[in-house]
Amino acid sequence: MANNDRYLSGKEVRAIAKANAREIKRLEAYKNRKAPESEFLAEMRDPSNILEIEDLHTFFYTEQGVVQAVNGVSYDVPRNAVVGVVGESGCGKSVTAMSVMRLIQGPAGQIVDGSIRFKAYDYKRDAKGNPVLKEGSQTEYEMEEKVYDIAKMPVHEIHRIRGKQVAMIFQEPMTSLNPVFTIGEQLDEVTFIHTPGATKEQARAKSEEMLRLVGIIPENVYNAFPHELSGGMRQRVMIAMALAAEPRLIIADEPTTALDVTIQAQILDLLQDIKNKIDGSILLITHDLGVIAEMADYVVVMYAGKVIEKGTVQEIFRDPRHPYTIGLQKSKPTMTLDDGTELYNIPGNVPNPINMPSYCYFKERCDKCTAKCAGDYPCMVQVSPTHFVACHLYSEEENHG
Amino acid sequence: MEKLENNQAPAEVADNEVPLDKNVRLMSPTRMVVRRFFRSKLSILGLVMVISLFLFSFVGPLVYTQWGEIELDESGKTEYSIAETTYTVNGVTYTVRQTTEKYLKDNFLAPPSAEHILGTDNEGYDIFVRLMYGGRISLTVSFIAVFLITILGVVLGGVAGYFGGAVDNVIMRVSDVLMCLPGVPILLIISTILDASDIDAKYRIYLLMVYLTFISWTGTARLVRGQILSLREQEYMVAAEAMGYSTFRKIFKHLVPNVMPQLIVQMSLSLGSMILYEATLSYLNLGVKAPYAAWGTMINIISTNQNVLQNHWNVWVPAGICIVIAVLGFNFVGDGLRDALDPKARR
Amino acid sequence: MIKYIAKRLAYSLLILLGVSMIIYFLIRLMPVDFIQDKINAINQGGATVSEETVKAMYEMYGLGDNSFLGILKGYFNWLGALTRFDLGTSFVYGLPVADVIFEHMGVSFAIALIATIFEFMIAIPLGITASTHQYSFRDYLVTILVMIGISLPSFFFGQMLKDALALKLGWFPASGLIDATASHTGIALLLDYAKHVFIPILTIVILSIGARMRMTRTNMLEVMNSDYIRTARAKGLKESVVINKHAFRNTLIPLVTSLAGLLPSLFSGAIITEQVFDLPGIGNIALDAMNRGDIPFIMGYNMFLALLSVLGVLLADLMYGLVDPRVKLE
Repeated sequence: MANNDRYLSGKEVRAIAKANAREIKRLEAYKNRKAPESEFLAEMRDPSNILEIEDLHTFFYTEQGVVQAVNGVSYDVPRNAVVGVVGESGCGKSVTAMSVMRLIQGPAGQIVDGSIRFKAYDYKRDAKGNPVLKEGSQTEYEMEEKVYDIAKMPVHEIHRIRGKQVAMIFQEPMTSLNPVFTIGEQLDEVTFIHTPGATKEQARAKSEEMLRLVGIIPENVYNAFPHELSGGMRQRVMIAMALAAEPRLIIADEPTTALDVTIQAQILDLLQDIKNKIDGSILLITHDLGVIAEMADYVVVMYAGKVIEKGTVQEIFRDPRHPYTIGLQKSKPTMTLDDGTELYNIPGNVPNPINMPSYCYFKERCDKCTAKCAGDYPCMVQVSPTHFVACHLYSEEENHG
Repeated sequence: MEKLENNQAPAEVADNEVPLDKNVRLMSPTRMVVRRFFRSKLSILGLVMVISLFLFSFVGPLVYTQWGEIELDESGKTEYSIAETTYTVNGVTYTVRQTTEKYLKDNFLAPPSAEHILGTDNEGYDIFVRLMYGGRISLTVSFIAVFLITILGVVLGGVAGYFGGAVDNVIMRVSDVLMCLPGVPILLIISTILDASDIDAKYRIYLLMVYLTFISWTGTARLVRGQILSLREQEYMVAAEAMGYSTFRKIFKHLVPNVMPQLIVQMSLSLGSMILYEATLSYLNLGVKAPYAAWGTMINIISTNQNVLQNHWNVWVPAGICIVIAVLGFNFVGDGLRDALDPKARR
Repeated sequence: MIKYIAKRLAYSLLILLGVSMIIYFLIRLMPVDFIQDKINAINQGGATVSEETVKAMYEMYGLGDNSFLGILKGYFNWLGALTRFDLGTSFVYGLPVADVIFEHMGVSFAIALIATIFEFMIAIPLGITASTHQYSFRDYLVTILVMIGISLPSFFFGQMLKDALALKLGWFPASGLIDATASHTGIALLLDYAKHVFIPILTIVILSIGARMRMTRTNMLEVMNSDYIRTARAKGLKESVVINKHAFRNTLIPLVTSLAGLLPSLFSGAIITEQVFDLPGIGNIALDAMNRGDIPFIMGYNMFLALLSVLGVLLADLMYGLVDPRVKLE
């Protein structure tokens, strides 16, 4: 009866609010706790990776119920590789990235479970937290590699990771720069935070180098305010800012979505170019399959808060397995499309994020649905050493074969 | 909240499918507002405060009829004054107390008792009853003023925004001038004018508030005009135009839902400030004049009578508390409404 | 920029013209015999209004001729006098109105300035902590303080403080600006002033702090939710730097602008507070003048207030252009 009601009753809403408050309180306390470093140090499963996300759960506690935005996501980012994450709006791809940066807007948004292991390369620090000089040198510092579990880090330790180790390029270049500081001030700041003992001249030199790297003549914009630049220029500045601290991982969250098409191409070329120049990996989040095909080495396909398929770019594009991935490929407009055939679209809608079914989330929309699909949510099935898919079609094959 | 949107959904939904909102259970918009309003304890407190003041002021005098607003307690009072004289005779000190008994017609400054719940003031009026009548005046006057200001503001702002051009220019220039008029001093002048022309003390305050609306409509007018102007810029207005709706219809249709929440919030907040305004005027002896009661007038006595200020708290503190409750109540309600109607702009 | 200011000043003059017209016509609405009554009362009260002064006023206000043309003529007479910086002579003080205003402005200005400094020093940090700890205990505490500050009538709260701190406890003098029974000099005089203005300033600060805190909090919340704060965090800045540098610099824009808007209230005097504590500030003098029908002073004082608020608006706009790089004044 209650399920057919269009609206929640007051009683239900109160129950939700109470449960939310309790959970948020617990998670906030965990986030703000004081913990020794040993508590959030970890080991990588595979030493060639720099980022391993494992069984990540990030939820939003809303008035209407808990939105399971990221619901058990696992994927890896190998060193010096470009990993593309695709999926439609609301599938949790951005939230996963934000979780890596720990930028999820609290108190409603919280990382609930899972681990985000990251291999950091940073200055070796003494007990007081000051960087240790290399023996016999006055300016060079000792470096060391450490694996942190970002999901378990207390919030006041996050500055070890943000900016220096993982940098992020956001979707909205128009609003992502502080309107009251000049481009120069905002760029220099990155060097000041992450390079011990940096002088003003050093910071400026670094900023100008980065601006040149992203194809901007520094003299023109160093003293400019953000509002004086176009969207494309601002995105270039954002990229320069991300690169300034020489991070190991750059997360680009739909970096071209808010730009017009010609500028999009320029920014993609720039990212392509940078990919070859830097010593680091890129996690590229987009809903544009073309961008992925062009840039990525590995692809992760997400749907409704879960990873449904992941593999190398060839595997995903040449041999897609999951019906959703196949549908995505088919719904891509091409010039060679036969006359008269309509562009394919995947029928139906994503299930309500508050009230997810226990069976496969794609079942209602799937044209290859079998009896098994009404059962539990499918597990990840390995179809090649690098190719994984979460679909009952293939788990059956496994079972029978 | 990227999570909750679903704009990537395909354009067509096949017949056999369950539509999206069938399995999504949300709160209805009205319920959401009501729910958000009542979730805040402060809004509930505000509502309780306002309602109880209304009951006290409007129903109170019907129930408690022992005394009237301008009914003096003429039961009389005997005032004793004691004079002490000390003198010393042969090293022995003598004190002589002389008590004078004075009979007065009015029972003024009586302490709280069963007869007078909060005692009587310096004239011999019952304070408790005058609080009720004072509340009537304060609440009525504020409501009238706020309604007049809103109506005038909406009409003038609407005309300015709708017609634009010269009309807009004239209205906005006038509002520029009015905004530079010093509020309280101008009311002081107007009040002096009212003094000079014989207006019944009972209606003075209403007339004063009407004048007040003439200089206070500017804020509301600017709000409405701004909304209309920004509406004209919206893409959906262009869409509405493309569909052939008349300008008046489309503006009116979109304006009401856009401006209503802000107007309601502004009205409830300005109710509080109007009560303060009225009280201040009455305190300066410019609003409601004796023998009629207003909360401000009841406090006025202490600016000239130190004895009342120091020794007879029951005369002036209750009126002050009433003002605070009223203003606080309207502010709490206004704030709660703002939070409820616009979840983005919290407090 | 200079062109902009010149244009704005010219426009301000037009507004002032409008304001003066309204005030003048309002004053002319007072019946003449009423004014005569008031002058007689002043004469009886000790101060004497000389025949000349009254004549000058009749000249300036063209009283007695209540036809529209008469009023118009009177208005232009008044304007003409104004161009010679002549606001007329106060009945009560027998001095030029401008002199009376400037003489009493100092007290009001000193009190308002000190109160404003305290107000900002207390309200801004509290507003910021409330916004960065949204829904926490201190947030609610600040909210309630805000509400109480906004809701208390100044005359009631002032009298309460006066009764409690001055009359009951006797810690401070209850009224006036100096102790008339003692003749202090130097530091002792300064201390005497401080003792006298303590409760008035306390009253003003407590009453005005709420609105300022609420404003800081709202602005700060809005800024804290913006994309550039997310960028600042993503850079690896510590939360304290994010708040005190990136967010605060943006909240400063409306704060500085509102500071400029406060200019009029610095000079105009707090009428009620000055009345409650019987301070010889301009607000109290003006209130007295209204009660006694000192028309030249009322006219002059109201024009002074209008001038201040026009200047305040202009200054606020200029400040806005100064602190917000996005705004170009043209």
